[in-house]
Amino acid sequence: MKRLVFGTILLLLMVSCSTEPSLPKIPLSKSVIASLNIYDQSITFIDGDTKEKMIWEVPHPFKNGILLSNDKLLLLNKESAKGYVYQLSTGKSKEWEIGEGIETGLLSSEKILYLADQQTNKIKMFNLDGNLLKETTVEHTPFAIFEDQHHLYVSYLDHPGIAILSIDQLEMEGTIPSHDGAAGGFITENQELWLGGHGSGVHIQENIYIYDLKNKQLTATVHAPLMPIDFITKDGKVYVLSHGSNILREIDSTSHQILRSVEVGANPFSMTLYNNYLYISNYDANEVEIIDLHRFKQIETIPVGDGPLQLIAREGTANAK
Amino acid sequence: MKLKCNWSSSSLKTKIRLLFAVILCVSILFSFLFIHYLYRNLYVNEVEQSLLNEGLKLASSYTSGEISDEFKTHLSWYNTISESEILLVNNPRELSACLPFEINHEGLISEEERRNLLRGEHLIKIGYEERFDRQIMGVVVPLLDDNKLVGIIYLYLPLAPIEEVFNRTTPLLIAVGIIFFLVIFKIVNSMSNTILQPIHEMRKYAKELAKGNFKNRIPVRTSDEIGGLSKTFNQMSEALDESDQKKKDFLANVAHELRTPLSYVKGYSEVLQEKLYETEDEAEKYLSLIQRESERMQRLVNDLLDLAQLEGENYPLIKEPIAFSQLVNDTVDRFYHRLQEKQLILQQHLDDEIIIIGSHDRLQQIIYNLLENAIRYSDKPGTISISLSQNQESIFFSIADNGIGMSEEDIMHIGERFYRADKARNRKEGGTGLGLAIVKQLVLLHGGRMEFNSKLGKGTTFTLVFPNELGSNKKGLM
Repeated sequence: MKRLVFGTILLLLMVSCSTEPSLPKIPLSKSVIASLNIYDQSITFIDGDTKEKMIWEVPHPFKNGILLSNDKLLLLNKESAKGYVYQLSTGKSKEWEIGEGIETGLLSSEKILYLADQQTNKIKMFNLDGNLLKETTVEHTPFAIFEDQHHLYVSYLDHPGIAILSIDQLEMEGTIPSHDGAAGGFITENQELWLGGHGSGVHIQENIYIYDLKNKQLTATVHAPLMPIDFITKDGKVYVLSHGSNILREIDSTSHQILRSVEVGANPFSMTLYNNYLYISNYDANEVEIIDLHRFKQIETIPVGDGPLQLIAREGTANAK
Repeated sequence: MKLKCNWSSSSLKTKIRLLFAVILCVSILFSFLFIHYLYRNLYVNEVEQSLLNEGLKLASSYTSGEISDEFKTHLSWYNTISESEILLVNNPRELSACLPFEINHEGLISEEERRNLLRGEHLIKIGYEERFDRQIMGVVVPLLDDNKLVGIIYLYLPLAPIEEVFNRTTPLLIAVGIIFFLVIFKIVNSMSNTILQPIHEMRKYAKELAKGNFKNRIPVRTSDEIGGLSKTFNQMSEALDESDQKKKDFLANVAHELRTPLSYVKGYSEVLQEKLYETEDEAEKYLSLIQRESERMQRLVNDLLDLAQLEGENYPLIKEPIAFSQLVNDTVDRFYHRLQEKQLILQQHLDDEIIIIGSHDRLQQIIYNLLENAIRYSDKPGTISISLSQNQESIFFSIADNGIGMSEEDIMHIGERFYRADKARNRKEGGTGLGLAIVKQLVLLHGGRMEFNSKLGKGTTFTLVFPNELGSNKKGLM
């Protein structure tokens, strides 16, 4: 009998342990680069200054993350109807009901969250409390979402076109014909949409397509093989990551000239900028490498969890407690 | 249930055939499956190994960096001369490089396989491959530049030719199997005939036996269990035959023994009825003859009853301690007149201390019969010696005469019913021919045994050995 009671208590303890793993706290004061490692469901936080690492073993799968604020990270998993909001400073989490099929999203400059639902082909609009404000159905499977002052631009996964939606009401305002399988891009100050992608079928995308959003047409292509998928712009230069050929290119944003290029690690998927350093996730090599933008050279590699797919930089709050 | 009935009612031959057929079928089937399994395993393994070796050799000529055109040419040339299909794949989309995202394209390898390849491991693929729309046996070898998966070499063989190898050999295997089955079954069949033949013969002889024909013997051909059974069967026939013969002899003897006195009785009673005598004395003589013969018949019938009882299984013997010498003296007294009449000298050496555990009446009957026997076969003047002695284990009682004795052949038959050494003398003396047979049974009932020693013309000695129950007790007490 005693043994049974003891066993039950032990079991309860174990169960409670497994349901609420204690994740290390990420102090608000620290600047960190979070590497979302989707294969082993972990997040490696790299201290931007000391390069020290803190690891979160996340108790559920995830594919993508959106930093909602300095302290809140939303993790998305397409197979689940829930979004998980983690408070970095406490390691505690909350669940949002966002529906299945959501793989990507965008936090607008107005702090509105737009999520692309690939199951029902919808764009959903949430506030930062996780309340659904509005939703609209688009014609095809939505993939990437970009914003400018008045509009959302949604690229389709399975259709050569970009939908234009009003940013407040999500009303369809038109489409721009584009290339197939568009993914990754950004909008310049001159209302240009630089769009990369993986390609379609066996076709490998080798170019960056630049669309003029005012005229709604393709204005230029920049050859950046293979599969340019992530873009960062700084000081009139665009940094483009091509994951098929493991190459980082520096491109002049107006002349579209390729200024410099460097070979990076195996199968890079994502990059983020911190203090003039470019952090790049090498998905196949399970590491994050740091490129010094001055010398345009790799200066360090940091091993992280399995399958680092996305990098997110979070600036520390200088006067935080 | 029906099957069970059929099984139990079917002949041994059918059962053996069926059993062997089942065993044969099962073992042939098992062998086939085993051969198939072994062959397939060995063959497929070998194919797999050769594909892998081929792949690794091809991959070894890649060193680092982008895949050169020279390497591509080399591989496509090799593909034309190789038995297997060889693909060089360096399209990252085919290599699932984009797989974390939905990319509307099914790569040649899965993400997990890609991870294995990145670790430098090769892949083995057996089964249906959607890309080639056929069953294949394939090997994937990675081309790694540091930790980057630059490409793969995909070598495969359609599985159909591999299956064909078996399809070709299967008819041959089946044919060999059938021939093997038929040959073995034929052998088993003839063997079962050989084994079962004596059983059939035995059945035939047993039927004859049931009809009362004990003379037949089964020919014993083998020295195995069946041969042993035949031998035992023959022994049983012999025993039955012998006992049948004894029964016949016994009946003939009884009839014979009864017929003689009956014919006397009948003859003399007719003489008396017809008054064919001349004097009264003569008539008296005939009457006493009739009486004597009827007494003899009575004795005969009594003895037969006695013997039948003694030979029965549970004859109750009421045992008590008896002073043996006293018993002998009492019995001898009854023969006083006959000893006088035949002028026989009786010598006695009796140990008076001997106490025997036994039935008073039956022990007396033993002594009576033996003494009567000795007197009957002694000629005057003669000597009869009686002795009684003991040791720890046994009590010895013996009666010896110096009468006519017995031949070797007679000795063999001592104790048999109606056997007489001197037939004429015995009948004349009024013996029934059952005395010694009764003695033998009674001694056995007392746990003893009968020994005898006889020489023709010299006399006969009967010695009875009884267990000395009190003697051994005494010893035990000491």
